[in-house]
Amino acid sequence: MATTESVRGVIFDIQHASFVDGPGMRSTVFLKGCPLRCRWCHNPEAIRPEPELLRHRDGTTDEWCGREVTVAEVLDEIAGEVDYYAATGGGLTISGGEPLAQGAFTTALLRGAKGRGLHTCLDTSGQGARETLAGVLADVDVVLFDYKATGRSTHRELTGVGPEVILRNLEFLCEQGMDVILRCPMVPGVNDSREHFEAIAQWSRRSEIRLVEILPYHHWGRGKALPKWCPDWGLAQDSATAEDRSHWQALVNENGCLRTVIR
Amino acid sequence: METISSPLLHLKSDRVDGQDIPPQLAREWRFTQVYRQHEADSPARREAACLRAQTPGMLGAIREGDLFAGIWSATLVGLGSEDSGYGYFCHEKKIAALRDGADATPVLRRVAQELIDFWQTRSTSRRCAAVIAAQLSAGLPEADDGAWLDRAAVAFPLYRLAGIQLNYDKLLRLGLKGLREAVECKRLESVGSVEREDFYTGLLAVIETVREAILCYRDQALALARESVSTEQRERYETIAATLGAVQEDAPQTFREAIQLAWIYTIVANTANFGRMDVYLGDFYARDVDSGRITEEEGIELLVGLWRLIAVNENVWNDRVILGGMGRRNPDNADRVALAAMEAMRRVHHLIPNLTLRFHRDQNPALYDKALDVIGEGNTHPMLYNDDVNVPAVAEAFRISRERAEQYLPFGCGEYIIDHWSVGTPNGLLNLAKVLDVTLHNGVDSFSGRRAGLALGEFRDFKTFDELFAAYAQQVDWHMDHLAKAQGIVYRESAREVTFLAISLLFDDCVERGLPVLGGGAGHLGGTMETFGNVTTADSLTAIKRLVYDEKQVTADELLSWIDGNFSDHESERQRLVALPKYGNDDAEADAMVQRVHEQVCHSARDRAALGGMDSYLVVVINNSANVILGHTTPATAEGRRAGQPMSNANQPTAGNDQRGLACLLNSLAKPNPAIHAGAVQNVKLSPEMFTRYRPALNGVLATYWKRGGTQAMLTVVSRGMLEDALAHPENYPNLIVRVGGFSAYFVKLSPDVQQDILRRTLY
Repeated sequence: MATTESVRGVIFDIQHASFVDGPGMRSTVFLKGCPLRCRWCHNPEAIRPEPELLRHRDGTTDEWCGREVTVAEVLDEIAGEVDYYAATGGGLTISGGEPLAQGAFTTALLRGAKGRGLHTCLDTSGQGARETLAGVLADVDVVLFDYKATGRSTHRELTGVGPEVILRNLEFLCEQGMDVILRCPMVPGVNDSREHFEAIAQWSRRSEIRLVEILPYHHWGRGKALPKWCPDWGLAQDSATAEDRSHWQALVNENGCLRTVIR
Repeated sequence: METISSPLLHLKSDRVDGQDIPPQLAREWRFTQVYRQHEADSPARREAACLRAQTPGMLGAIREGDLFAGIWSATLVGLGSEDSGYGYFCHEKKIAALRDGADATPVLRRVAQELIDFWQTRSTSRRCAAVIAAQLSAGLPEADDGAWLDRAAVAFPLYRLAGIQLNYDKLLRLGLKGLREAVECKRLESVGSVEREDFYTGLLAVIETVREAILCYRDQALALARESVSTEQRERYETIAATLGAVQEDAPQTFREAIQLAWIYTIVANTANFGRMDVYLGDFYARDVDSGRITEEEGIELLVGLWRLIAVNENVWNDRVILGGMGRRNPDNADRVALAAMEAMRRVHHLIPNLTLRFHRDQNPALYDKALDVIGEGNTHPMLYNDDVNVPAVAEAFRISRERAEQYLPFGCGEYIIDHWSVGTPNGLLNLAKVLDVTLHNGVDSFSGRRAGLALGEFRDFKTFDELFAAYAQQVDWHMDHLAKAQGIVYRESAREVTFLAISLLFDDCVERGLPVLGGGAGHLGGTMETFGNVTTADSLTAIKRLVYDEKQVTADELLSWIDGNFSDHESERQRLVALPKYGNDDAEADAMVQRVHEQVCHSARDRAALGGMDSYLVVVINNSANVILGHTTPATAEGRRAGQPMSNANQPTAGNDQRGLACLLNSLAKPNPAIHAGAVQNVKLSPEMFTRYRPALNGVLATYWKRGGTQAMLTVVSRGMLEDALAHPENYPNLIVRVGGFSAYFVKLSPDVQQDILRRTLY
């Protein structure tokens, strides 16, 4: 246990008392480093693996993003909240960035969390090594799996990578009988195609997928401080509107999506 | 909800110098004449005469749609306990405004001036203030009533008898006839003691006054019935008249009669809190519903009718209705009224009554669930109180039995009192942030430049943090000496003049002892005092300890120069202070300091009951927007707050300083010891989704908070961006209710600085 808890990783935030990253009240640890380049990414500070300086939009101040921590430090930081997790069916969520990109740390953090009796969620894009994914499953209760776009070229265009690894990993998780929540960020006019909803509907019929969450795009990240290498990151468009939502609801209904909610 | 003003029932014309007394001051003039005639009488006799004279003029007429008779109409001179004014009161400023009005006639000007002159030396608060000014001016330089609103001082006295809770159970059980018999009986026993006899005679006069008020309203209801244009209208007025007729002598037999009698008595007594309504109405409600006299729906509508009448005077700081909790004699029946009362609140969606739910492990969970349902719809009620923690804490703090403690009731902005047994009005307030300021400036208030404490040395003279803290504690104690003595003076001086007859009649053990409530009658003579800026002070001490003493990064003189200069040219230093640990994040260092500050001030008060001749003297950590008002005269503080800005609110982090999520906030809130004070409150701003999509999780979060020792919570539900939008477009949000502190308000009607303070609070 001592060695597990001494493994180090780079995180950029711990969101305490979150209600949106899995069941119950949870703390979400955001790891730095991501192989994807989603056009709507609202955490571009999570892309590079190492700590870096962010510049505020007004250009006045810089701040550090990212810190190296041990598993023990993370778990100690949330120790005061564990009885809230227990009372709400919540726990620890590991998110990012892409957790599988820091395989050793993610493995140790999940193992460490289980060692302290916590419920765990892995929030992943699925773009990661199969061995890493397979290696953590014993310590994961629920997988929050991002499903971002449908179609090879569209996927590559919107996320910077092809869908092959992701889809194979999703299939693998289902085969392993994992408890999966499919999370679909939906950006009006960008990835909300009819084919995408058809594919979502197909996945929703898999019994391993207990819930599909459509997450409407919002532009709250617009004012964020950004890494200096990406001064103009992000989409210029506004948050999803009520019309977008009702359009999506219609697509959900038409395609017969099961257990699907629009958040 | 709309409030409709009500015309007065009794406005006879009076004349002075052959001219009519202007109607604006007619009631005040008549009251003053009666007082003058009885000035040489004993306090009880004088008061009985004044009460009888004043009551008819205070009765507002029954309005179309009212389900009960009784609207209280404020006067500028009169006899009260708190809301209208304290004891014999005179609202000089308002009278002066009439006098100085452009349209004031000569006779109005003369009458106004005469009233002001007459009451200058006679109003109860003036009498108390004069004694405090003569004896305690070193610590309480601003002794005038209301001085805290616009003058600068570390501590202020307050004049009122707040939070009085009447024994409604006794009133409803005995009715006026039974009360009269009980008092008569005691009066006969007291022959030979003029003082006691006068007191009992006075109590009988109260009963007569209530009866007269009932009859006066019955006459009006009958007249309205005769003039009615529809059958429905006529029947409604006839019902009111019949209800009044039924309780003019006898004890009430029905739910409707019970509400009517309790309500009229409250108006005559001029009290503003309703005690354990579920207990005293529970049996009536259950009997009527079970016998088919009324349906549950009709029961709820009757309570809606009462809520609407309570709302007329917009007395948002009071009007507590307590539901649930330990120590109820009829929990099953009381539960039924409690559920109906919450449903009525949901329908009315108004600031008052200040519905309060006490709960505990063994209580019917339906009450708590209903409370969260009502809150989730955007109401700021009920406020939630955890008896599993509070009952033992109250027993210890007040040094009373557990059985007594089970009858604790929160009132006002969160103070505790024991139901119709203890008085415990907060009659002093202390700004802890200014105490720290005085400590850092060798006994001088750096805002006013006035000496406001002991000269214990300059900041740089304190070689260790413990030395500094000891000096701060000594300054707190010095102010507490003054405040405890002042509270004793308020009680003693008031007791000389006022017997509070209508309160004494329904207050333990006044009738038994033959003594008025402040003159030895109250079972427990408690006092309380309000502290402000507690967390601001503790966070400042955390910053000072860390930078000056532990890490020695900054000298005392440097830090003092930053705050004395209000951080001008020191913004980066201010940011350094802001970045240090703050209460509200489950941070061991910051929270320990809040606990240390809390323990010190609570024990300081609790050890000083005897100084004021009281059975208990306890701190209350409440809020009534004084954190904003007192902030105006509070210099910059070492946790990074600029001069004039709001301070922390009650037992809460300074708005926006809680940044580690709901669990960490609640953990911090549960840390200060509840067994050494008489009430501490906390507001939490939650998103509507917490009550819909995340309701099961919210239940678990709150359950954990209660289990960890959380005493109470006041929840406000607003969605992200709603408050900002309400500031920009107030016309779209006329009904947006937020909780300021112990009370609620329509957001768009608040002052801009209070709005900003609420906006800055973290939304969960």
